Amino acid sequence: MHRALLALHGLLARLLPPAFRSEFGEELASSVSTRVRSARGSARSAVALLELLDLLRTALREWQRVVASAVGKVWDGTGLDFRMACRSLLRGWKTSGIAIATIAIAIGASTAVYSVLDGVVLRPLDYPDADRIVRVAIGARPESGTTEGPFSPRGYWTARCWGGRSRWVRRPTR
Amino acid sequence: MSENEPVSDHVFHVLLSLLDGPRHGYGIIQAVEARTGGAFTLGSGTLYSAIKRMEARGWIERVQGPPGEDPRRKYYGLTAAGRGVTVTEARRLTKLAGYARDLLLPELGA
Repeated sequence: MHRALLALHGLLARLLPPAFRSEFGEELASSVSTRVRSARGSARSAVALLELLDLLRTALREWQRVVASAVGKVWDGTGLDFRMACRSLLRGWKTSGIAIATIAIAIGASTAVYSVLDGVVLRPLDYPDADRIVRVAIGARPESGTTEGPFSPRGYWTARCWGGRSRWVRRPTR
Repeated sequence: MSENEPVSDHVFHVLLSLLDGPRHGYGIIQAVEARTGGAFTLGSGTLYSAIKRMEARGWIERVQGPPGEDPRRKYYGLTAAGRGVTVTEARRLTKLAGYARDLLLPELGA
Protein backbone atom coordinates (compact mmCIF):
# COMPACT_ATOMS: atom_id res chain seq x y z
CA MET A 1 0.00 0.00 0.00
CA HIS A 2 2.70 2.50 1.00
CA ARG A 3 4.59 1.72 -2.21
CA ALA A 4 1.55 2.67 -4.27
CA LEU A 5 1.15 5.85 -2.25
CA LEU A 6 4.83 6.70 -2.77
CA ALA A 7 4.43 6.16 -6.52
CA LEU A 8 1.37 8.41 -6.49
CA HIS A 9 3.35 11.01 -4.54
CA GLY A 10 6.03 10.95 -7.24
CA LEU A 11 3.36 11.44 -9.89
CA LEU A 12 1.53 14.23 -8.06
CA ALA A 13 4.80 16.07 -7.37
CA ARG A 14 4.39 17.30 -10.95
CA LEU A 15 1.62 19.55 -9.63
CA LEU A 16 4.20 21.69 -7.84
CA PRO A 17 5.26 24.88 -9.66
CA PRO A 18 8.25 24.13 -11.96
CA ALA A 19 10.65 26.47 -10.11
CA PHE A 20 9.85 24.86 -6.75
CA ARG A 21 10.09 21.37 -8.25
CA SER A 22 13.48 21.98 -9.83
CA GLU A 23 14.86 23.48 -6.60
CA PHE A 24 13.42 21.08 -4.01
CA GLY A 25 11.80 18.21 -5.96
CA GLU A 26 14.65 15.76 -5.48
CA GLU A 27 15.14 16.57 -1.78
CA LEU A 28 11.39 16.38 -1.20
CA ALA A 29 11.12 12.93 -2.80
CA SER A 30 14.15 11.69 -0.84
CA SER A 31 12.76 13.03 2.44
CA VAL A 32 9.34 11.44 1.86
CA SER A 33 10.85 8.13 0.88
CA THR A 34 13.19 8.02 3.92
CA ARG A 35 10.39 9.03 6.26
CA VAL A 36 7.98 6.40 4.98
CA ARG A 37 10.60 3.63 5.03
CA SER A 38 11.70 4.52 8.56
CA ALA A 39 8.12 4.12 9.86
CA ARG A 40 7.12 0.71 11.22
CA GLY A 41 4.56 -1.70 9.80
CA SER A 42 1.15 -0.24 9.06
CA ALA A 43 2.31 3.24 10.10
CA ARG A 44 4.11 3.41 6.75
CA SER A 45 0.86 3.75 4.82
CA ALA A 46 -0.43 6.38 7.26
CA VAL A 47 2.80 8.42 6.90
CA ALA A 48 2.69 8.08 3.09
CA LEU A 49 -0.94 9.27 3.06
CA LEU A 50 -0.12 12.26 5.28
CA GLU A 51 2.80 13.16 3.00
CA LEU A 52 0.50 12.91 -0.02
CA LEU A 53 -2.03 15.30 1.53
CA ASP A 54 0.79 17.62 2.56
CA LEU A 55 2.08 17.60 -1.02
CA LEU A 56 -1.33 18.64 -2.37
CA ARG A 57 -1.59 21.42 0.21
CA THR A 58 1.93 22.61 -0.61
CA ALA A 59 1.22 22.59 -4.37
CA LEU A 60 -1.89 24.71 -3.82
CA ARG A 61 -0.06 27.16 -1.55
CA GLU A 62 2.95 27.48 -3.86
CA TRP A 63 0.75 28.13 -6.90
CA GLN A 64 -1.16 30.76 -4.90
CA ARG A 65 2.17 32.46 -4.18
CA VAL A 66 3.21 32.29 -7.85
CA VAL A 67 -0.11 33.87 -8.96
CA ALA A 68 -0.05 36.49 -6.18
CA SER A 69 3.52 37.43 -7.09
CA ALA A 70 2.65 37.73 -10.82
CA VAL A 71 -0.43 39.85 -10.09
CA GLY A 72 1.60 42.00 -7.68
CA LYS A 73 4.26 42.62 -10.33
CA VAL A 74 1.68 43.67 -12.94
CA TRP A 75 -0.06 45.95 -10.46
CA ASP A 76 3.23 47.50 -9.31
CA GLY A 77 4.13 48.26 -12.94
CA THR A 78 0.74 49.86 -13.68
CA GLY A 79 0.83 51.92 -10.49
CA LEU A 80 4.33 53.15 -11.33
CA ASP A 81 3.25 54.19 -14.85
CA PHE A 82 0.24 56.04 -13.42
CA ARG A 83 2.36 57.89 -10.86
CA MET A 84 4.91 58.88 -13.52
CA ALA A 85 2.13 60.12 -15.83
CA CYS A 86 0.64 62.27 -13.03
CA ARG A 87 4.06 63.72 -12.16
CA SER A 88 4.90 64.64 -15.75
CA LEU A 89 1.44 66.21 -16.22
CA LEU A 90 1.95 68.34 -13.12
CA ARG A 91 5.52 69.28 -14.05
CA GLY A 92 4.53 70.77 -17.43
CA TRP A 93 1.14 72.07 -16.36
CA LYS A 94 0.86 74.69 -19.16
CA THR A 95 1.39 72.14 -21.92
CA SER A 96 -0.86 69.67 -20.10
CA GLY A 97 -3.59 72.34 -19.74
CA ILE A 98 -3.48 73.15 -23.48
CA ALA A 99 -3.58 69.43 -24.36
CA ILE A 100 -6.52 68.75 -22.01
CA ALA A 101 -8.43 71.85 -23.27
CA THR A 102 -7.86 70.79 -26.92
CA ILE A 103 -9.16 67.29 -26.17
CA ALA A 104 -12.19 68.76 -24.34
CA ILE A 105 -13.04 71.13 -27.24
CA ALA A 106 -12.61 68.32 -29.77
CA ILE A 107 -14.92 66.03 -27.80
CA GLY A 108 -17.52 68.83 -27.44
CA ALA A 109 -17.40 69.70 -31.16
CA SER A 110 -17.68 66.05 -32.22
CA THR A 111 -20.66 65.56 -29.91
CA ALA A 112 -22.41 68.67 -31.27
CA VAL A 113 -21.86 67.71 -34.92
CA TYR A 114 -22.99 64.16 -34.33
CA SER A 115 -26.11 65.35 -32.42
CA VAL A 116 -27.18 67.49 -35.41
CA LEU A 117 -26.41 64.70 -37.89
CA ASP A 118 -28.34 62.23 -35.80
CA GLY A 119 -31.35 64.54 -35.41
CA VAL A 120 -31.53 65.45 -39.11
CA VAL A 121 -30.34 62.39 -41.00
CA LEU A 122 -29.65 59.30 -38.95
CA ARG A 123 -32.58 58.95 -36.53
CA PRO A 124 -35.48 57.17 -38.24
CA LEU A 125 -38.70 59.08 -38.77
CA ASP A 126 -41.32 58.60 -36.10
CA TYR A 127 -43.66 56.57 -38.31
CA PRO A 128 -44.41 52.89 -38.36
CA ASP A 129 -41.99 50.97 -40.62
CA ALA A 130 -39.89 54.12 -41.03
CA ASP A 131 -37.17 52.12 -42.74
CA ARG A 132 -39.60 51.29 -45.61
CA ILE A 133 -40.45 54.92 -46.44
CA VAL A 134 -39.17 55.85 -49.91
CA ARG A 135 -41.09 59.11 -50.55
CA VAL A 136 -42.32 61.86 -48.23
CA ALA A 137 -44.77 64.49 -49.49
CA ILE A 138 -46.98 67.21 -48.10
CA GLY A 139 -50.46 67.62 -49.55
CA ALA A 140 -54.05 68.41 -48.72
CA ARG A 141 -56.40 66.05 -46.90
CA PRO A 142 -56.65 62.66 -48.56
CA GLU A 143 -60.41 62.96 -49.09
CA SER A 144 -60.10 66.27 -50.96
CA GLY A 145 -58.36 64.50 -53.83
CA THR A 146 -55.89 67.31 -54.44
CA THR A 147 -52.38 66.63 -55.57
CA GLU A 148 -49.31 66.82 -53.47
CA GLY A 149 -47.69 70.18 -52.87
CA PRO A 150 -44.05 71.24 -52.96
CA PHE A 151 -41.86 69.92 -50.25
CA SER A 152 -39.11 72.13 -48.82
CA PRO A 153 -36.40 71.17 -46.36
CA ARG A 154 -38.43 73.06 -43.79
CA GLY A 155 -41.44 70.88 -44.63
CA TYR A 156 -39.33 67.76 -44.08
CA TRP A 157 -38.32 69.09 -40.68
CA THR A 158 -42.00 69.78 -39.82
CA ALA A 159 -43.00 66.29 -40.89
CA ARG A 160 -40.21 64.84 -38.81
CA CYS A 161 -41.28 66.88 -35.77
CA TRP A 162 -44.93 65.93 -36.13
CA GLY A 163 -44.09 62.33 -36.37
CA GLY A 164 -47.01 59.97 -36.11
CA ARG A 165 -48.77 62.16 -33.56
CA SER A 166 -50.64 64.53 -35.89
CA ARG A 167 -54.02 63.56 -37.28
CA TRP A 168 -53.06 65.43 -40.44
CA VAL A 169 -50.39 62.94 -41.25
CA ARG A 170 -51.39 60.13 -43.54
CA ARG A 171 -49.93 56.84 -42.67
CA PRO A 172 -47.68 55.42 -45.32
CA THR A 173 -49.29 53.13 -47.84
CA ARG A 174 -47.86 49.68 -48.02
CA MET B 1 6.55 36.74 7.51
CA SER B 2 8.67 39.89 7.99
CA GLU B 3 11.09 40.19 10.87
CA ASN B 4 8.59 42.11 13.02
CA GLU B 5 5.65 39.79 12.44
CA PRO B 6 4.98 36.63 14.43
CA VAL B 7 6.26 33.57 12.58
CA SER B 8 4.11 30.51 11.96
CA ASP B 9 4.46 27.41 14.15
CA HIS B 10 6.25 25.30 11.55
CA VAL B 11 8.71 28.09 10.67
CA PHE B 12 9.48 28.55 14.38
CA HIS B 13 10.02 24.82 14.77
CA VAL B 14 12.45 24.81 11.83
CA LEU B 15 14.34 27.75 13.35
CA LEU B 16 14.53 25.97 16.72
CA SER B 17 15.79 22.78 15.07
CA LEU B 18 18.72 24.63 13.49
CA LEU B 19 19.84 26.36 16.72
CA ASP B 20 22.28 23.58 17.57
CA GLY B 21 23.75 23.27 14.09
CA PRO B 22 22.98 22.68 10.41
CA ARG B 23 20.65 19.85 9.39
CA HIS B 24 19.26 18.42 6.18
CA GLY B 25 15.51 18.43 5.46
CA TYR B 26 14.70 15.02 6.90
CA GLY B 27 16.96 15.80 9.89
CA ILE B 28 14.80 18.86 10.64
CA ILE B 29 11.63 16.72 10.51
CA GLN B 30 13.20 14.21 12.90
CA ALA B 31 14.37 16.96 15.28
CA VAL B 32 10.89 18.51 15.43
CA GLU B 33 9.26 15.14 16.12
CA ALA B 34 11.82 14.26 18.79
CA ARG B 35 11.50 17.64 20.53
CA THR B 36 7.69 17.61 20.62
CA GLY B 37 7.37 13.88 21.28
CA GLY B 38 5.46 13.49 18.00
CA ALA B 39 2.86 16.10 18.99
CA PHE B 40 3.95 18.30 16.09
CA THR B 41 4.79 16.72 12.76
CA LEU B 42 6.11 18.53 9.76
CA GLY B 43 5.16 17.35 6.26
CA SER B 44 8.01 17.34 3.74
CA GLY B 45 6.14 19.70 1.39
CA THR B 46 5.42 22.15 4.20
CA LEU B 47 9.06 21.96 5.30
CA TYR B 48 10.54 22.77 1.89
CA SER B 49 7.96 25.49 1.30
CA ALA B 50 9.06 27.08 4.60
CA ILE B 51 12.75 26.55 3.75
CA LYS B 52 12.26 28.33 0.43
CA ARG B 53 10.75 31.42 2.10
CA MET B 54 13.20 31.44 4.99
CA GLU B 55 16.12 31.20 2.59
CA ALA B 56 14.70 34.09 0.54
CA ARG B 57 14.50 36.20 3.72
CA GLY B 58 18.05 35.35 4.69
CA TRP B 59 17.09 33.50 7.87
CA ILE B 60 18.73 30.25 6.79
CA GLU B 61 21.38 29.34 4.23
CA ARG B 62 22.76 26.25 2.53
CA VAL B 63 25.93 25.04 4.15
CA GLN B 64 28.45 22.29 3.59
CA GLY B 65 27.38 18.95 5.09
CA PRO B 66 29.66 16.88 7.35
CA PRO B 67 32.47 14.97 5.61
CA GLY B 68 31.43 11.61 4.20
CA GLU B 69 27.77 12.66 3.91
CA ASP B 70 25.88 12.08 0.64
CA PRO B 71 26.62 15.26 -1.39
CA ARG B 72 23.06 15.23 -2.78
CA ARG B 73 21.76 15.94 0.72
CA LYS B 74 21.54 19.67 1.27
CA TYR B 75 22.23 21.06 4.69
CA TYR B 76 20.67 24.21 6.03
CA GLY B 77 22.11 26.43 8.75
CA LEU B 78 20.82 29.40 10.70
CA THR B 79 22.12 32.87 9.75
CA ALA B 80 22.62 35.71 12.24
CA ALA B 81 19.32 37.22 11.05
CA GLY B 82 17.59 33.86 11.55
CA ARG B 83 18.95 33.57 15.07
CA GLY B 84 17.72 37.11 15.77
CA VAL B 85 14.23 36.25 14.53
CA THR B 86 14.20 33.10 16.70
CA VAL B 87 15.15 35.05 19.82
CA THR B 88 12.60 37.80 19.10
CA GLU B 89 9.84 35.25 18.54
CA ALA B 90 10.81 33.31 21.67
CA ARG B 91 10.63 36.55 23.71
CA ARG B 92 7.22 37.38 22.21
CA LEU B 93 5.84 33.93 22.99
CA THR B 94 7.28 33.98 26.52
CA LYS B 95 5.63 37.34 27.17
CA LEU B 96 2.35 36.09 25.74
CA ALA B 97 2.49 32.93 27.83
CA GLY B 98 3.26 35.12 30.88
CA TYR B 99 0.05 37.12 30.38
CA ALA B 100 -1.95 33.90 30.07
CA ARG B 101 -0.27 32.40 33.15
CA ASP B 102 -1.07 35.49 35.26
CA LEU B 103 -4.72 35.39 34.25
CA LEU B 104 -5.20 31.63 34.39
CA LEU B 105 -3.06 30.81 37.42
CA PRO B 106 -5.80 28.91 39.35
CA GLU B 107 -6.82 26.88 36.31
CA LEU B 108 -3.25 26.11 35.32
CA GLY B 109 -2.53 24.97 38.88
CA ALA B 110 1.03 26.24 38.81
